[in-house]
Amino acid sequence: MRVLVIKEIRQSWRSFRFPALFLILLMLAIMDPLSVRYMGEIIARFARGVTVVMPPPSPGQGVAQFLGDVVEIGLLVIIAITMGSVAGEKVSGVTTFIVTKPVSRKTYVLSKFLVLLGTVTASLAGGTVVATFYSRSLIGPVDWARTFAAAVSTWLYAFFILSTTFAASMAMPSPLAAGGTGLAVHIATALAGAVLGKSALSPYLPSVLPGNANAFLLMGSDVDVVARLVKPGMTSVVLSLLLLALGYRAFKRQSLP
Amino acid sequence: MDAIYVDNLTKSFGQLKALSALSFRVKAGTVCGFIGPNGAGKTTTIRILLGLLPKDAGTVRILGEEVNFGRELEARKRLAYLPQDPVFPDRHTGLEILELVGGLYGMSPAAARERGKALLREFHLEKAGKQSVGTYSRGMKQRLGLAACFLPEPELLILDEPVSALDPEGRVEVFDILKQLKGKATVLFSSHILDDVERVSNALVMIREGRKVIEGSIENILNRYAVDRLRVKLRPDDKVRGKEVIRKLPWVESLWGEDETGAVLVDVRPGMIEQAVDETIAKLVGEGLRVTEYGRVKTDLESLFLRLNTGVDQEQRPTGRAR
Repeated sequence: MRVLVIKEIRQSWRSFRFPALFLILLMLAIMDPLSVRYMGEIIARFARGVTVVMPPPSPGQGVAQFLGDVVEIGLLVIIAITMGSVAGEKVSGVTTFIVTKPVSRKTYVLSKFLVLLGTVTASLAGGTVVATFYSRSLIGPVDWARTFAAAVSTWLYAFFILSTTFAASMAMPSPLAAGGTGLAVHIATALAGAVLGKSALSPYLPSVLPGNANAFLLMGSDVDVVARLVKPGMTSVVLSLLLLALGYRAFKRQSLP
Repeated sequence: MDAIYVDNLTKSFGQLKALSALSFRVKAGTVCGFIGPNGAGKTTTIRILLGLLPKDAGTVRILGEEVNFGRELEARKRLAYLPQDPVFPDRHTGLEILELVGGLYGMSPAAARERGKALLREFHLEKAGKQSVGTYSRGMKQRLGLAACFLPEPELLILDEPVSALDPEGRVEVFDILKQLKGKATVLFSSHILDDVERVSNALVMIREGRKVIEGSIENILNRYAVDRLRVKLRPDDKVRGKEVIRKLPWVESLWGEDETGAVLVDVRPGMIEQAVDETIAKLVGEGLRVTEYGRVKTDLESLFLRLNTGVDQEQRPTGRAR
């Protein structure tokens, strides 16, 4: 496992896949608090002669906007770096190179998934810390506990999309098909949230998770953080594990070139 | 002990029958050539041996362990495989690839590094060992693939066209290494260069359309399928009379014709080749005929391959060599 994890880190680092995710999230973490802090001034510059009245930004707004951008932009990058992870190597023949050595298919995919998950976690954590400190210095003190809960909620959703795309990468014959599946699940989750928003199922839907950043950081203290985190979080984790198991089952039964 | 045991192996891809009740064995310690025309089923067989492809029916055992698709093969610890076009994680250097392979076989990083460096030297990749394999030519990748196969010192090597991208010098070097493995490790290698197979192997499996054509030691096969034929080259002005003399000899079945040098090819009756070799030249010389070249036509692997796979008798072509 250790040998394959090193190989995976080396391969992903040198192909710029992981630095790309980290740098994009870092850029968002710097830009978002800035834009929140100076939005009033920026609009006023372009709207001369018009009086622009904007409420003063709250400290949580910079972090909430960063986490919102992670869902909108960051997840597309996560899908892009995940889709070829197994499917691309199956096509190129690298999978055959590895699994004809004394290493199980399970170890092969597990090492890949762990490195991907580690990268996503580190990038999201790093971005959140930067966004939080930057918001604090530009706007004011931030509620650390709620910021942590908002980041965990975004991470849980990222985990769900990462797992879905990775499962598709194991099961499907091409990276494009895997990426398409990840994107389709991302869109379908949002649609399911809109359609089933009033039903009894709604608190359990993964679609709740991306909206939690706003709820935790902007809506005051009457939001039940634990309920909004645990119910959809559990659904996401269970669905993710199920999809990963199905993806691995399909991968195990695949012929390799 | 059989290092490879294949019994009644059958595999179809839709309507296409790739392997039909294929059976063969490779004894431990032999270097076995695995030959057949394109589409014969060689790569399909190798993929099933390695557990990369499911079989429809039959039994396959590698180093005593039964191969079942979907079940991890323990024997992988003791074997190495080289595909026809080796592929590596392309952001790694040659040395890093060998360290990775060593790690996967359970070698310590230091041991893998040391052995990797030695193999890079042996395969003339010492400088290239620091470059990314993404920049390697096909021949360099094949040499690195071979180095990776030799790294863990496996009991069984399965090599699919191992020298197809190498220059003549590289081929000789690789085959010298394979020759040295006789008795120490088992090698199954497919090749379309039959001269190489004949030079290196001491056993052979030939397949066609998914079925076994012949199997056994090279020596036995060549003896068994040898054509009893003589090659006699006479001075041009003696040729007509010489043919008359030869035709009347009791061991001669027929005159096959002439090869590209103008030598007469003589088919000998079964069981009489030794007498024919000993006495034909004496008769010709006794008749005052001048013989410039004389010998028994050797059946080589290439002519045998053509005869068994296409029905064309290669000895009527220039490749028939006189001994």
